[in-house]
Amino acid sequence: MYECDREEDVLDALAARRWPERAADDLRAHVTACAVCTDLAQVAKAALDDRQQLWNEARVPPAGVVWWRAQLRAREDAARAAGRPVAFVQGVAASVSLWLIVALFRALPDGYVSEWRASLMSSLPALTFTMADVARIAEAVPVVLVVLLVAWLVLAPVAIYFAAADE
Amino acid sequence: MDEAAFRALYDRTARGLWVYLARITGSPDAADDLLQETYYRFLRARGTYDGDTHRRNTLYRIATNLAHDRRRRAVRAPVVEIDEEHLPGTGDVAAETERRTDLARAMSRLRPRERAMLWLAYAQGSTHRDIAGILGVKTQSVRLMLFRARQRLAQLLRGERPPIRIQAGRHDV
Repeated sequence: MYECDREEDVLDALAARRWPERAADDLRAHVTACAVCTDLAQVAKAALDDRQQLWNEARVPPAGVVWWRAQLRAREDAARAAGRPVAFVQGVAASVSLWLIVALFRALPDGYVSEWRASLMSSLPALTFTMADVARIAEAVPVVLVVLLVAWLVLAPVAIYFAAADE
Repeated sequence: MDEAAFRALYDRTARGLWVYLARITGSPDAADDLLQETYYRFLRARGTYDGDTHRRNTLYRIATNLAHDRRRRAVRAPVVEIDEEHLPGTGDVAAETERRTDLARAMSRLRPRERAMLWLAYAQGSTHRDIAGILGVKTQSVRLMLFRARQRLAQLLRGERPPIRIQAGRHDV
């Protein structure tokens, strides 16, 4: 047997601080005879007394301090969270840029760089790309790079927006 | 939740929560730390609540989980079963009397969940449903679990000698 019909009576007497002195005689007699209620009365009384003692010893900071600390920590956490996607996007951007530059140079015809540099040096005051240069570079760049570049241009502002929105 | 609402909730719940944390961790210092953390996580969760009881239960659930995490992080030796007569100091009459009347010491020999359950039921007056929600157990199981925990604590308070789970190297549980 692990329950008794009179458990509630015992708990009521304890909650009203009537137990044991001012409790009804029949309840006291029952508790003496019932193992379940004996344990219940002993444990519940000890818990209530202990709670009362601890209640008086509790070291609770003021609500304002807890609120202020929570706000401060929320800002710090938000700043950390915002930094993560930005750092990620920056890393992706740097990788893509590097990849793009390497791919461009590898795709250019042999001798083009030195010719281009010589041409650049000679015509420095009027440096312009002709349409033919642009077309040649565009042909040399793999499609996947273009897709990545465009994706980055679209996703970076979105990521930054969401990171900032959390704050 | 705005500051005014938080202050009102805090004033209603903080002291009881601190007492709960102090008893289930066995350490007032741990209660200090976990109290702040509990409210921080509660605010961060930005939950919607049916009422004050729901809010209170959520706070206690967070606090219980934090206490559990803290226990898991603590460096500890494996649990061993020993009989109380092998504990130092049990031969001393004064110490024995103190041990019998000291709920904290008796509770420290219970499992963490038993401790939390007994405290919620008899010190806080929580319902079985609330206890189930806070501790993450089935409501139907609470009655039997509570009975066993209560029986065990009563034995300890009376100075009887049930097998005791000791976790060497720990002072707070």
